[in-house]
Amino acid sequence: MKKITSVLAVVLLTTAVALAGPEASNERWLHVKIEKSGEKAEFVRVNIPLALAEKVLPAVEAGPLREGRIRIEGTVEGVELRAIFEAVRALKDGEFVTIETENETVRVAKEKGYLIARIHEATGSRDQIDVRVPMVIVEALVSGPGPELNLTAAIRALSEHGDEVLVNIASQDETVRVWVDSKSTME
Amino acid sequence: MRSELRIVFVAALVLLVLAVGTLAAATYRSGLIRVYVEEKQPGGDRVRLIVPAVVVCWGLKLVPEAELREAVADAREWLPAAAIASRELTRYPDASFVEIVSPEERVTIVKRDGALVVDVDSLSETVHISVPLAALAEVAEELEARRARL
Repeated sequence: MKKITSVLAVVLLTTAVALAGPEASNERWLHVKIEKSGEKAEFVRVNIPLALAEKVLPAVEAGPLREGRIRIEGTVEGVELRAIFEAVRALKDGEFVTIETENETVRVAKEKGYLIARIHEATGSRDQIDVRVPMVIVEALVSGPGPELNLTAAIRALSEHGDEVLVNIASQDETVRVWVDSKSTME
Repeated sequence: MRSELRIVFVAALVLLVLAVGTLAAATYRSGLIRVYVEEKQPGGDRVRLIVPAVVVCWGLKLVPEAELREAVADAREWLPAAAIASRELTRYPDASFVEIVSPEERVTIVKRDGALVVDVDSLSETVHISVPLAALAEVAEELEARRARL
């Protein structure tokens, strides 16, 4: 009888751990790391649980941010951001912008479910900018009805998408990295 | 008469022990709010404050609404978010949320032992604030409820 109880306890414990495990590992964190070298060296490290951001954002009512959505009024330098997002969403995979000069290479493309922007400088500061945004995030951003970007939906989509490096910027004196994973730390 | 006095004394003692015990238990449960500010220039101010979080939560309920009106109005945009954030943060393990290091200052915001801890070490001052998240949530919810009534 004692043996059966022990086995039952082990089975229950294992089940509990197995059930708790996936939920814990599903918790996604957004990380931002900025490191600046040189005379005024500094670094910034931010770790935010995406589920927390998803719950807090709809409660913030400040400026153009309402109910987790940011209202876009007018244009930015004559360009309607939402119209661009929607156009990109509707397009098939392809390369939209390619600029190759002696000094730099610029490439903007939609590829295998990602919106990709790359700027690589060949001379000078040798900056390298790599932005890779899953299209599901872009779709979530423009999922609202009006002239607004649905930030809450984008965060939800990001947390469901999985581990991802979104932004990688490297220059002579600065590096920026933005990524999502299931760790609460940067290690 | 002597026995009556003894009964009154024992009853008072029991009440005192109960009151102290209740306060100790409430303090243990709610934790302590710690604030430490030190200006670095010669003769600079130094503030050191350690208060049971439960005292702040109870005390807030006693503050007249007229006194809170201005403070609540200033923070009204952020109160619901603060209440949700502090409540949600209790679910997470200890973690470092923000760390900024520059030649002028070092700023950290972490969750440690159920409290939100903010440390600022700049050229001019040192600031340390530690607030139990449960107390933070309670204060934000109380202020939010007051805001709704105003």
